[in-house]
Order: sequence, then structure tokens, then C-alpha cells
Amino acid sequence: MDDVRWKQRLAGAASAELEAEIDVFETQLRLRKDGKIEDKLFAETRLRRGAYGQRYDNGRRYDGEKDQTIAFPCGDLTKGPETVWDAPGMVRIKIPFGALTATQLEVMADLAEEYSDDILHVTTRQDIQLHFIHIDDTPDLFRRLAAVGITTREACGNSVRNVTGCPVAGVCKTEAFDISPYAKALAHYLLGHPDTQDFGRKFKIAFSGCATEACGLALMHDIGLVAVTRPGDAGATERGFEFYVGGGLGAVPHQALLLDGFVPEAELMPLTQAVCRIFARHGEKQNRARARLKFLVKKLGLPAFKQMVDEERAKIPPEARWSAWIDSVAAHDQPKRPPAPALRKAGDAALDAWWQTNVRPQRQPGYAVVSVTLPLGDFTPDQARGLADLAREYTGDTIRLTVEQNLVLRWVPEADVPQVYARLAALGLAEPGAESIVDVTACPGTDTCKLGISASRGLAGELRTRLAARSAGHDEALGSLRIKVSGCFNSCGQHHVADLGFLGVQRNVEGRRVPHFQVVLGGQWTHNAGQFGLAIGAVPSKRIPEVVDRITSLFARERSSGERFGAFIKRVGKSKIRDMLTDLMDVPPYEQARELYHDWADPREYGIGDIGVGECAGEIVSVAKFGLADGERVVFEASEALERGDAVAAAKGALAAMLLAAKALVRQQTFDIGDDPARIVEEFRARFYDTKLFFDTYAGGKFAHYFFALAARDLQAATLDDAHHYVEEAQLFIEAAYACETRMAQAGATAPA
Amino acid sequence: MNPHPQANPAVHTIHHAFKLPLVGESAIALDEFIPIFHGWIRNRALADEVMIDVADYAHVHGGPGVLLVCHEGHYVVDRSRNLLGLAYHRRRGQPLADGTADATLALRRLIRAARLLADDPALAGRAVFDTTRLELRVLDRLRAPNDDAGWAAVQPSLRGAIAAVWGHEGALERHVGDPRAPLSAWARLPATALAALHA
Repeated sequence: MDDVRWKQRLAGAASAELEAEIDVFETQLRLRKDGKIEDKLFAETRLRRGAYGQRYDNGRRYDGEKDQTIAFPCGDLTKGPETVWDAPGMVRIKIPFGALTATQLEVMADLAEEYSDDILHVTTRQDIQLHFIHIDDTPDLFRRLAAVGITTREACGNSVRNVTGCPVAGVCKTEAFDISPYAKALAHYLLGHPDTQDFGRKFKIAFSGCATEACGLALMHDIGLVAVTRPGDAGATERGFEFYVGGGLGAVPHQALLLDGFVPEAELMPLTQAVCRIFARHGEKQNRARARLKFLVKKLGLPAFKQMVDEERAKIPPEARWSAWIDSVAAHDQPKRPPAPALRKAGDAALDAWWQTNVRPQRQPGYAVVSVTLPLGDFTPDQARGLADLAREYTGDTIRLTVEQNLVLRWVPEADVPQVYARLAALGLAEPGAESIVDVTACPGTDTCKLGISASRGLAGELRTRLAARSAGHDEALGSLRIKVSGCFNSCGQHHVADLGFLGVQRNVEGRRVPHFQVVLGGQWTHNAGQFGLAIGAVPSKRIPEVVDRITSLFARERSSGERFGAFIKRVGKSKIRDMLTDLMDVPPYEQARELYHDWADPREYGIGDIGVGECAGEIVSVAKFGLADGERVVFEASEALERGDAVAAAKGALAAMLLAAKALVRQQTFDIGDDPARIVEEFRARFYDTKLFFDTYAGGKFAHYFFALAARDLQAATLDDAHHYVEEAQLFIEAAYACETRMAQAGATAPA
Repeated sequence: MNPHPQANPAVHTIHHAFKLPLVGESAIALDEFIPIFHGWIRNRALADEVMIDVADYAHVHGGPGVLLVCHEGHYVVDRSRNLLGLAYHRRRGQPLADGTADATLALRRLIRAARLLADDPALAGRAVFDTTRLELRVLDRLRAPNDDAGWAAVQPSLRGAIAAVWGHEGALERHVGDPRAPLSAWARLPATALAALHA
């Protein structure tokens, strides 16, 4: 049996180009094993093929008491810097605008069963991720995907990532037109395009069918495209896009800016190509922390950026591919069954509850969109096969993944909805609450992500369970809130745009680490992620359910008639909310509250083996912590100033907060520091930046750069937009200062010389 | 750069997955296994396994429940296919003499893990395994497709493995269900104490 190989079995099933690419990748694996490719180069190679790292892939793991070496049999062979060859990794499978066929879903089910851990995971960008994959298995895995028209190429690395799009495009009541064929065409056009191969950082594109809904989240992307129409020639309607640039979440979120209010469909590709060229040519390449398009747009200013793009656009020679696809945009998705209006729901309470949250009528009468709730974005191969059957039988082979980590079936005749429900129930997939407060989304966090600080999935699962138990008591306003959780500042859980967002951080209490989450309020999910929230303070992980309980109870109790959550928070004020949570922020000593020193769904004590424990360390650390806590207070006051519209006060507050945090660290080394800002900056630079003491393992000196840059700015000229960024940067700087303090405690470097 | 002769060659270990049912559906919650598996990693309880991490999928209906992820395979306590049990899914490893040796190794690892759970003080004797039934699956659609030919190809090694561990071939019956699912079968076996199996 051993002579058989997928390569031979699937020969000719994929395009020759794709087969050749995978063969080359397999050869690169061999060359790396033979020591003929340097590991950094191999790392970028595999990333561009969608093979990512995973937690513990440096061969070390904290077991709750001590660090252990994971003795992989490959010895010192690596697949990237500090990335052991045999360590399992993650494969990210790009699904443009989340659209899948039943056959594609079945193949991914097979792959999850044979190479992964029996789970398919939907990400917040409409990808599917498989975890615990060995790098040796990836060529065959890629071949099997290629055979059904899927490529993982450029799913990771400094490339154009999955092009996302509204999952109800084509059937939505509020859209200008169906963006699906445009998203598909652009994704294919940019894949492997020479103008997208020299980026300093990743590049994300999203399509939305309308301005008001959330589905496309266009404003938090490098390029955001919102469908619009205008009167054309001879009474026709002309299709086009509002073209936004420079959005992004990450450590410091930026809202995209409008580059052009109407880009005709034929201009979509060339204009995108021009933006890509400008980004490749002028974007930052050395400092990853400033390399996203948002920083280039900010640096140049929108008018100058637009001028460069327009000039570049004029130079690009025309290509047939720019418009060859346009004639085919009309017929995209077709129903399998004729429309049939809903018969009266049968009085089944479970079906009624599910129908209320998981079924919505399409624009086309007689059809419904059915949302399938996937807890934490996870589902099994058996469930995937059952969903494939449903897609074939009821929808004409149409499945879409959503950025809320669910899946939707479209074109279901309304009369068939009860049967679909029964089939979903048999698969264990008939949970109600899609796109509601119960439907908490989360990035992988410490479960599998190398960068995770807190257990975002553990918290999301806990909140989901508790909120589901109370869901009957949720009215529409409360039920429609969104909760999103990120395990670190990279914001993959999209916490900035949630009503209630949580961002994983950690605190050092008497020499022990305590997992926390920053509570982020004021984000807006609708209007394509129309507003970003701000943190009001950090609370231990185990107390976050109490935070949710208090805030939602206050909202239920005190909101005015018809008042939405964002408006409520603004009216009540973040100060009041923070005051209401202050008692939860205090962390008792370990002996009095051991449960706080654990994260959700993980019995290991959180990080205890990473730091030294001693009376001396505890005492001196507490001195530094006064300064850091002062910094937190001041940055919170800055966010309040921002809310009042006082940009200058907010900007100054952000700097003052950073100075307090920096001073707190400097005082760890010398008492002789004083309050002169220039002196604090100088001492901090010499003692913490030049020595790299402040450097984060992954972010390097990025957060210190925020501090230096802000200290050098004229804050009197700050706009509200500037001030928003400064406050975000100050929060990150303070988090980095906390992490630095912990590392120093670990090293025993806690007393002034 | 030096070549790495110690790197795994492209081995073709058959991905056997064996599951031993637990008696008593409600006696143990899945999350009780999480600290136990973490403890196995901490104490290096499985000497010939490179243990990596514990994954919790208890929130997924019929999913893999709680996994102890190892380099060569995963130990899984789950309720998949409506059956609470402990499974071992072998994924890779040095090639052995033949399919029977491969399957026997996987089965012995399962039995060893079952014994550890049966004796674990945290479970206080509640982990009781039903040794009269065994679910067998082959997670390899290339070498063991879910059809008659695939079944004919793997049956001898499955029988051999069961005989090596139980001392008896038992009655092996292929489960003919969804053709897209992995090749699977059930073994009916004589009642034998877990401790008496040849692990």
C-alpha cells in the first residue's frame, strides 16, 4: 500500500500551475531537510503557502510548574527561526468571501480527520484553519485542496490575505448589488500577481454590499470596498464602489479613509493594483510594526497618497483581465428549489427560538438565509458532511462562512426551514442565538496561537455558556449586543469593533502573573465597523463574566426607550462604568484567591514558572506598580477627554500616562529621576530601549517607538483622530511596561542600583 | 548548514484510530480529563510519546472532546458517534515491519492509556472500560479507502492487532455507513479484564 501517493492519485485534477507550485514546495521541504535552504527563507516560503506556526513550536512548554522541553525527534532541524520542524503547526485555508461548495467542505472534513485534530475552525476572516498539522503532511494536504479548486497560497505572510465579503451578498435586502463576483474576480486577479509580492506586511481587502450593515467590515481593512450605484447612460444604473484605504485593527486601530467615492467596476482592478504598487514601493520594510498600509497613508496624508495612486494608475498598461469577467457578474448564485413561503411555525418552542435568531428572509420572496451557529467557530468532519448534504439538497451548493465564525445556508425555501432545522438538530448544529450576545467570537488565543497572552477561547466559551442560560431574559436591544475577545493586542478577535470587547493582557501581583482582560467599550459593529472602542481598565480573566453581568444589567435597567448600547455608554459615561468595576480590578494575594491566578479552561497556574517569587521582589515590584497604575488612570482620563471632544487634552493625557509608566520602570533602576519629561525619555531610552530590556519577544521595540514619537510631537495641533491613536498607543505602552516589569521581576532586577 | 539525517523521512504510517468505550455515560464529565492529561505531560506519564498539549473541544457536539496531543498521535476522550470512550489516533512514527505491527502499537498505546485512567485517583474508579467492544477506524483514504478493497486490505492487520492484545480475534464487522467517512469497523470481543490485556 505504501507506493500509493496523493500526487499520482490526483495528477491532473488541479491546474498544471498549481500542481507545479506544490511540487516546488515539496522540493523546498526536502532542501530544507538537507540543509540547503536557510530557515528564515523557508519560513517565509511556508507562510506564503499557508503553513503557519503554532504555540510551543519552539519546543518549550510551561507545564504549570516548570518549563519543559518537548523532545521532538527531529533534533535541531527547524522550519523557521526558533521553530522546530516536528512541532505541529496551523494551516490556514483561504476561502474568498467565505464561499464554499459542498465538495470543498467534504474535502476539508477529510483533511481535518486525517491530518489535524478532527476540528474545522472558522476564523474571523472567513478562512478555515486546521491545527496540529505536521509540516511533512502539507504537500499532500495542499494537493487535495487544489483538486477541488482551493489554494492556500498567500493565506499567511506578507501578501494579500483572504478577500472577505458580506456572507449574504446577493440575497440581502439592503445591498446596492451582489459583491460576490467582484470579490471573487479581485481575489483571483491578485493571487500571485507580481505587484503584490514585495509587501512589507500583510494586506487585507473586504467587500460590503451596503454602508449601514456590519457584514463586510470594510472600514477596518487596508482596502475597503462598499458597493454603490449611480445613474448611468440611457437610464441605466452604473455599478461602482466607494474605495477606502488604510484601515486596520492590530495594536492601534485605524479607520479607513475614502480614497474615491465612486470607482466604476472596470476600474476596480487597476486602481487596486495601483494601491498595491504604491504600498510595495513606499511602504515600510524594516520596521514591521509600522509596515501596514495604514501607516503609509497616515504618513503621507490622504491627498498625497491619492495623488501617487492616481499617477501610478495612469502608468499601468491596460489588461484584458481588468474587465473580462464583468459580463459574468449577473448570474452568480442560483437556488436549487423553487421559492415557497413559510408555513406557520409549528409551535415548537425550540424551533421558534432558533427561527427568531437564525433565520432571516432573503430579498427574493419565499427564500430564507439560515445561520448555523458554530460554537467558537468549531465544527467536526461529521457535521461538515451533514452540512454538505444540506447545501446540495436545499441550496444549490451554496455555503458561506462569516466573520462571526458561523456558516450560512442561502436560498433555503422558507417552507423547508423546519426540515433544515430538524437536520441541523440531528447534527448538533441547531443552537439558537446566531449574531447575538450569546454568539461570542474569539481568536485562538493561548489555545494554539504563539502570541496569545490570555485564553480568549476559554473566556468566550464561558461567556457563551452563561449568556445562553440567560438568553430567554434578553430583549432585542440586549440580545443584539456583540461580544468579541482577542487574546493579545494583535486584535484577531476584532474586540475594537464590539459593543463589549475584551483584550488579553497580564498583570504581576506579588511576583505572580495574573491573566487579565482589558475591557473595551464603545465599538461599533454596524456601518462596516464604524467606530473603535477604547479600554476602560483591566480586570482579572476570571472576573470578566461578572463584568459582563454588571454592564448588561446596567444597560437593561437604565437605558432609555430605543437607546442603543453605544449611545447608552456615551450618555452614562465611561467613568461611571469604570467606577462600577473598580472592586473587580483589585487582585488579592495568591493565598486568598488562587482561582484568579488561573486562566479559563486551563488548570495550569498561569505563568507561575516564568517568574521568580520572593518577598523582596514582591515589595519592590509593588512600588513600580504604583507608577504603572497611575499611568493607567491617566490614560483612562485621556480617553474621557477624547469622548468630550477635547483632542489636545486627550493627546497630552496619553503622553502623561506614558511618562508615568516609563518613570515607574526607570525607578526600578534609579531613584534619581525626577519629573522632567525630557529626562524621563532620555533615561528610559538609555536604560530600557538601548538595552532592549523593554523589547517584547514578538513586537520588539514597537511600543517604545510610540512613546518617543509622541514625546517629540506638538500636541497642541492634535486632531481627534490623532488623539484616538495616541490614547491607544499609550494603553499599549503601559501594557508593555507591565510585561517589562514582570520580566525584570523574573530576572530579579527589581531594585535600584 | 548541515543536512539533518535525523529528520523524519516521508513515512507512511497507517493512521489507525481505535476507541474503547467507557461504561456509564454520565459518570464522568469530559472536562475532568483536562487536568489529568496536563498531569501526564507534567509527569511524562507516557514514556515513549512526545506529549505536546491538551486541547478542549467539549463545546462541540459529537466532537473530539478532550485531546492529549502527541507527536505520533492523539489520545482522545469524546462522545463522537454517540459513544463515550477513549481513543488513540496514530498519525506518524517510525515505520514498523507491517500493518499488523502498526495497528498493534496503536492498540497497545490505547490500552495503556485506558489503564492509566482506570487507576487515576482523580477519577476514583469511575473510568470503567468495556473491553468487549472496540471501534476501529482507518483515517487514511489513500491507502484504506472506505470500500470493499480498502476493507480487504486492512482487515488482516486489524485482526492481527486484536489477537496480539486480546489473545483472541473476536468478531470483526465492517461498519457500512456514509461512504465519505473513514473506513470503520466494530470488534466484538470476549470479556477480559483491562489488566489482563497484552499491552
